[in-house]
Amino acid sequence: MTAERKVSARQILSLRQDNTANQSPADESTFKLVIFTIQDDFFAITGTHIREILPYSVIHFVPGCPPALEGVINVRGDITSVIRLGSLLGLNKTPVTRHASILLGVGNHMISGLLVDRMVDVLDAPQSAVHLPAATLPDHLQTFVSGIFRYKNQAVTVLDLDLLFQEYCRGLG
Amino acid sequence: MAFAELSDSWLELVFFQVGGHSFALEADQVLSLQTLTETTQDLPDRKGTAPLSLVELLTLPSTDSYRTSTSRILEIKYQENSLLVTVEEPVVLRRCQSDTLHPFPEMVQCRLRQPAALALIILGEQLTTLLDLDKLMQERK
Repeated sequence: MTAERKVSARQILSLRQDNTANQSPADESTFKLVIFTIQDDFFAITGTHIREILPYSVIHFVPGCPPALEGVINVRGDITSVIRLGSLLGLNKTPVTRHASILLGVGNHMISGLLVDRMVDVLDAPQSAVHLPAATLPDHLQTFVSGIFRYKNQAVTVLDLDLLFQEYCRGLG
Repeated sequence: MAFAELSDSWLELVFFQVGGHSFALEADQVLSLQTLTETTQDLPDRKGTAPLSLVELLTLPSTDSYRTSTSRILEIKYQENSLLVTVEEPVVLRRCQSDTLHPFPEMVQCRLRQPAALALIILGEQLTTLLDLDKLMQERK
């Protein structure tokens, strides 16, 4: 049994200060990524741009909307649009399955649901793990891709939601 | 009226179907409802006036439900006169609480190609587009 030792408050504060100063500066900053699939491709959006992940629910069609806009949903009394993310990315439209999710995305000062095929993971990734997109990326994706990230041997394309929403408002999809 | 006072208010709407979708007009814009068998010839001031098709005015794709459902004619107040439009059953007059009326979300608003669409009405699982008849007719001109 170790003998207890009386210390002063000043000693404790001094020790705490030393401990903080000795901490390794190598604690790399991380950021949250929400990973999902559209068809067989893996995509991610930063956690700061995703307010909520909702299960697929009935989407009400609104006449007069562009093809990428699936319609609207009722989120606890708030009416929110739902965009088919694959359509904005130039991917073919596939039937919605029971695995589908709606991500409540915030970008370009607007909120919208994003229909994706399947949620995969939400994780903290170190900044250094996200690399610049390859120059070989298709032209239509170049604008919206902020980086490439590896997740379980899969290449994950990190999307810039601000730019996606901005281009949607200009006529994309 | 302050926004908070709206919680006790309501609006009266006429709901109908067009091209398989649910639409509504404010009830004070609707003067009468007729069946297609009551031809326009029966209306004293409407001799020879063909009713306008809302499917065409709203440029909606016609669906199977549109083809099979029963059509009705709404006589609608428009400026100093009235006009006749064909809609599909069921046609329902309903009093709705003001909190059932919602503006379009921003992402819908910025791309909506339906000038006559004014707002959304949510009643349980049913979603209805409230129409602004003046805008519809302005667009037609």
